[in-house]
Amino acid sequence: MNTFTPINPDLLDVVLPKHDGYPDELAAGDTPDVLRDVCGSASREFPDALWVEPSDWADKARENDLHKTWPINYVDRFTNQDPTHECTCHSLRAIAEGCRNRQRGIIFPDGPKRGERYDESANGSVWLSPLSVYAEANPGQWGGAGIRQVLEIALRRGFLPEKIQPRDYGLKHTLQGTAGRGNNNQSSGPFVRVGSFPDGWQETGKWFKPLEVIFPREWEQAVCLVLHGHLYGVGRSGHAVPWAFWNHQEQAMGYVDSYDVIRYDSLRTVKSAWSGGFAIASMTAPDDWLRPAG
Amino acid sequence: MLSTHRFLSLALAAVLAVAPPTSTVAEPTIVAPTEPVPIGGFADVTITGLVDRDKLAWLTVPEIPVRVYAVWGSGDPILSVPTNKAGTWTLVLAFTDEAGKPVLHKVPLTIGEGPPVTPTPVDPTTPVDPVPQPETKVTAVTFVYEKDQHALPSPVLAALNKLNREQGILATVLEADTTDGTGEVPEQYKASLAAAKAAGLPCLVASGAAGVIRTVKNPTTEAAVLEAAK
Repeated sequence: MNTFTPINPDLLDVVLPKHDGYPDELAAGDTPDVLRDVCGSASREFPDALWVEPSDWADKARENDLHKTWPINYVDRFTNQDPTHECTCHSLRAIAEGCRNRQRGIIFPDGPKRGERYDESANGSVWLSPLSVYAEANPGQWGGAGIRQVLEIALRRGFLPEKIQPRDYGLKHTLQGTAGRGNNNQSSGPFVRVGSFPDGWQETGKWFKPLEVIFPREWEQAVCLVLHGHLYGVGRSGHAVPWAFWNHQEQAMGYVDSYDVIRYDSLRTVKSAWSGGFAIASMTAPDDWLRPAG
Repeated sequence: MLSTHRFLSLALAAVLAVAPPTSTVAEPTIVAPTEPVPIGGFADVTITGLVDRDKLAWLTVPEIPVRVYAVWGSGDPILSVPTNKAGTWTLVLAFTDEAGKPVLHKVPLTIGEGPPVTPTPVDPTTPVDPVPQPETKVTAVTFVYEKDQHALPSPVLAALNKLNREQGILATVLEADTTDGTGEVPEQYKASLAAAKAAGLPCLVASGAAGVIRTVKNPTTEAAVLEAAK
């Protein structure tokens, strides 16, 4: 992998025609203090052990290129939310899945690949349903959800796995991944209220919960989190995304967009968006990676 | 005059020199105590199956007196080893079966305190199965760390990936406070977490079927991880 490459300007600082789930009025409520409060005992300060001097960022980036240990190397699929307002939940699912895959220890050398599937995903990668969180965050389906809402829901009761999985894990409860387009690795279906989830769904959801969430206090700390393999979720310009690698040459963050594509935020956007963001440090781990919900 | 031991050695050699190994007759079975025999009695050795007494030779290593029973029948004791002295000996029996095939058996005998022994029949015409080795095959490797104090070295993560993909070893990362869906330490990590904490974090724990095999404190290179997984 080589992150020291020029960026296609068409992919940089893309602003969608209208919000797709993170309108300004919801973004305004996602202040750092509110996000920390929402996470309660799961909230963590930025660990000093993860600090990398900016003068060393290039070296750390080269190390990640060599070993393929960027956050994006733990994301094995795209999702596609078009035309729904599920963006905060699609971003959150990438962060949760990436953290979980990092715990599993399998690297996906090229990150997510549109229309393709890694054989290694069948060794423990579980695909989570963004809709399983969005349905509770916004029962009205349209209008989006705040980061504080979806974080609180995921921490409290977890995600449901979605109907498409890389292998049969014996999951008792699943839900379509999105009410949007989906793709070969993400199931699509009608919007559904929480009351219509499969009976007993909480018994499965609890196996897919974030345990610790890191909140940095400087934009440089947010970059350090990415340099150390943590996907970092942010909301800006009406859309929420997970930062997945740092392009040091271009001074830009690459992210896994929920439209089957990689796009980039410039340094200016990074410095303005980081404060409402977070990284998941750990997820619940299974007793058996091939029986992830017990 | 030859010593008894020397005589028996020659007799054994004579027995081993007869008949080519072409037998398809079932092997006579040697039965000897597998547990240590208390001092004060005799350890009986029984042979079942067809045996030509005249072609039986035996010796003990090191040499100890052996009593021979006068009457033999299948399943009856044929030899008796006195147990007035603690220690471990090997009783070597050589004879030919009904088809004339030479058969050689080595029977370990432990008298007094000592570990249980298992008779190991040895046929000079057939390779002997290797002695089973202790279970040391690494099947899982876990890098255990504390998130607030340790970063995950990229070479270590790369090594874990290599173990997963190339060697089929379950190589994973565990933050020390991680729980499962029930709020408990995941079952698969209980032993390795305990071992890692005892050794000091961060720590790589290599485990096999019987449990933790080894721990490696704070590995930072790919080579260190791969070496620990051997």
